[in-house]
Amino acid sequence: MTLDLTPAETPVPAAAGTPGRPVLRALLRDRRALFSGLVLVATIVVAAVSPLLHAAATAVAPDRRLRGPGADHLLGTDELGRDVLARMVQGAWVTVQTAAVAVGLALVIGTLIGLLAGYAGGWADSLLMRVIDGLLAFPLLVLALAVVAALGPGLRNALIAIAVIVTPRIARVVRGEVLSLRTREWVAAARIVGVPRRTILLRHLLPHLAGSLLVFTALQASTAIMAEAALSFLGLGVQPPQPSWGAMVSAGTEHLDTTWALSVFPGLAILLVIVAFNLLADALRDALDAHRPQLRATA
Amino acid sequence: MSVPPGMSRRAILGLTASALAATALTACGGDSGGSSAGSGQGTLTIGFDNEPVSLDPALSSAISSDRNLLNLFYEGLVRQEKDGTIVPALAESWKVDGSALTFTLRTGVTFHDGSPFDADAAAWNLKRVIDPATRSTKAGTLSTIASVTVLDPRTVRIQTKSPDPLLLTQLSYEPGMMVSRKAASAAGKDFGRGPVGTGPFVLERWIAKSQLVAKRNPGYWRKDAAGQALPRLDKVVVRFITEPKTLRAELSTGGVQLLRALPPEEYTQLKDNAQVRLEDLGVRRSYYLAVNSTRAPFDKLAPRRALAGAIDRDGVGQTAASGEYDLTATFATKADWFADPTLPVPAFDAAKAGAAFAAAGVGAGTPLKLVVRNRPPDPTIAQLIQANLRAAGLEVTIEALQLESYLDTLKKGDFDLGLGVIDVPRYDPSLTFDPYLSSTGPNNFSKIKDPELDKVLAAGRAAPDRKVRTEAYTDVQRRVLDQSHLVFLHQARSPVIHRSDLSGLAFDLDGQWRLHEARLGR
Repeated sequence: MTLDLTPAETPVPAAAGTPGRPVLRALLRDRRALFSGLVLVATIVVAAVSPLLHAAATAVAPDRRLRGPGADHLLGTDELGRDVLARMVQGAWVTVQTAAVAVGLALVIGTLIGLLAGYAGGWADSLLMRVIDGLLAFPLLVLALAVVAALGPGLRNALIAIAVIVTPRIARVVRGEVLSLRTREWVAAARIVGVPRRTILLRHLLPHLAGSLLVFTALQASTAIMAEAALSFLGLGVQPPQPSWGAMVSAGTEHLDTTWALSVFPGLAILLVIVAFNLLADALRDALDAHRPQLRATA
Repeated sequence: MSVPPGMSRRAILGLTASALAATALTACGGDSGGSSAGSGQGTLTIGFDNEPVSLDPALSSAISSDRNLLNLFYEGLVRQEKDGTIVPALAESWKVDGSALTFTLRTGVTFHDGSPFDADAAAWNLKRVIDPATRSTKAGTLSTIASVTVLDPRTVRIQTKSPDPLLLTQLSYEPGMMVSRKAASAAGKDFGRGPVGTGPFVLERWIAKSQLVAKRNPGYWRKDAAGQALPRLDKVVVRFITEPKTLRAELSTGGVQLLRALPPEEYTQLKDNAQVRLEDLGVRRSYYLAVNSTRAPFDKLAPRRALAGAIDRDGVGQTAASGEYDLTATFATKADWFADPTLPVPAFDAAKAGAAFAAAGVGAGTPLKLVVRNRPPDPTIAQLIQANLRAAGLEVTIEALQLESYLDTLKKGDFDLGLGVIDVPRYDPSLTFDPYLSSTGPNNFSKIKDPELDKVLAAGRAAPDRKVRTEAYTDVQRRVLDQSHLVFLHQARSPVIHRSDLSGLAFDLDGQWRLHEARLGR
């Protein structure tokens, strides 16, 4: 270390978050981003109005069961005569909760674990990473099933299970980034001049991680939504009479040869949201890569 | 396709062609050969969704569907016809004298392994079921027997502790089926996998989870009305297929010619198929709600009565049975001799039920736990009941469980409502009612402790006279409806389903097949 800098002159590079404007502009020019943004915003809007249709989604009417798509019921009715469209709208709310709550929880906890492990190193790193490796050794759904089996079925527990499977993935990515960043001169400089560790982690390192973390989180959101659909398909997620897309696909398989719409439309909704998150992640990565001059220069 | 060395492509083509021709020829031969051979009528293939664990009648499970296969290999001393009368089988005649029952046996009957069927064999079989060392699941049904005596090689006498009007009926089914002593002793614990009886078919092989093949018993004693040897079929192949949609597809393409059962959702799609016959023998799957009378709110009569009017039985039938259902007051089917058409089916009125719940002190939002088996259509029925009860102001949580934990929960009583189903008719009303309503019944999931109900159940069980029994069972039904210990839902029709070229099927009272006269083709 031959650096001799005063705190005021510490050349902390502009964080990756700063070129927000060009990134946003790049995203707006990207058709993938526009498509996925549209789908995700639409999902959120639909989820927001879902309470209005709650009565229609749970009102049973055996005399009009298993109708195909038509004028009275745009997407038909299910095995209890409930409106499929109204139920899909309710399902959107579950999906939004999955993406926001489960992934949000995983993002916060995973990032903290990753930062700590990566920056601290030593035994703390070894301990945390062995636990993370252990969790990652399980196939995704097996771990989720184990958690739900332990906690019992229901939306809250399904969301916890999903957070448990996503957290180690995020922690791993964050730790990797931190490992490569912490050897940079500006980090060493900050340390030498006595910047508190917490400030280094949160103010100096975290902003540099934000880009790749955002991309990775978008990808994990699609995994989370798939996992929620799978748990609901198996009857371990949202409990009746509350609908979710996965549970609707599951219920519809009983009637696939007579009323195809029951499974197909919720299935399409799941597909659409997952594709949207994947495309968003792709577009984000491209946009961020093109607008990271500072990091590139120092890389 | 890889060509074996030393074989030209042309040679292989030739071989394939001749193989195809041979197949075609045998197929033709099979069609016409049936009638020319006189007895052989080809192979009947059955689609069966409920593979038995054991085909030892003494150890077979309580599931009556096992008898479809047991009837291939075994017979009893007597047999019960569809109208309930008892007719001779391995016994030519019998005499009831107080608590003594004397059978005169048919001569010249042998087991599949060649050992003779005589009075010694019959007595050994009955003692085998009673013997605690056998651990027979049927021991309880013959518990009234005090002694079994061989009078001569053709005559065997059963002495009961007291007159038992049900004994002959019980002996018509699993408890009275005769197995070969030689084979059973030789096989020991494995006898259930290699049945040997006197029945119309002999086991050829049984591959677990795949299929069971039985071939014609050439020494079968029974002749048809024209004096022709029975059985008519050469072979019976039972394929174990669990998926209803696969069973339906196999039947419509002719891959199987006979099915044990299909859910209404599936068989209604076969109604227009000219090659398929749906034969309604009166078999019903009777759905019910067990109402836990050991905890609030249903430990009191008023909430139970309110519950009876809160459920849309027609809606449940429409939803769960595609409209193929009867509404009956209790487990009795419309055709049962103890059915009383004047017993009312509680009327559905959500508003009235809600008021009744409120008046009974069951406030809005009272939480209830509804336990169901996690297999279609039960969870769907549960959601409908959930919606019905919500309309009456109650909040139902559904717990859909696998069979073991479902039964466990019902037995432990950790529920308010439990959705169940029983197959009716059973071969005696005591089997229909006692297990579910008697205070000591194994399936008394409602935890009923009603001395009055126990009294009328006992009266129905003990009386030999059908008129007296009818009265007793009417009292039973009236009492259980009055106390609302169970909510009887719909009875889904469960017809026997077969290809229209299969004929000569005979049935037990509860709808299980006997195939000794079955034939294929015109």
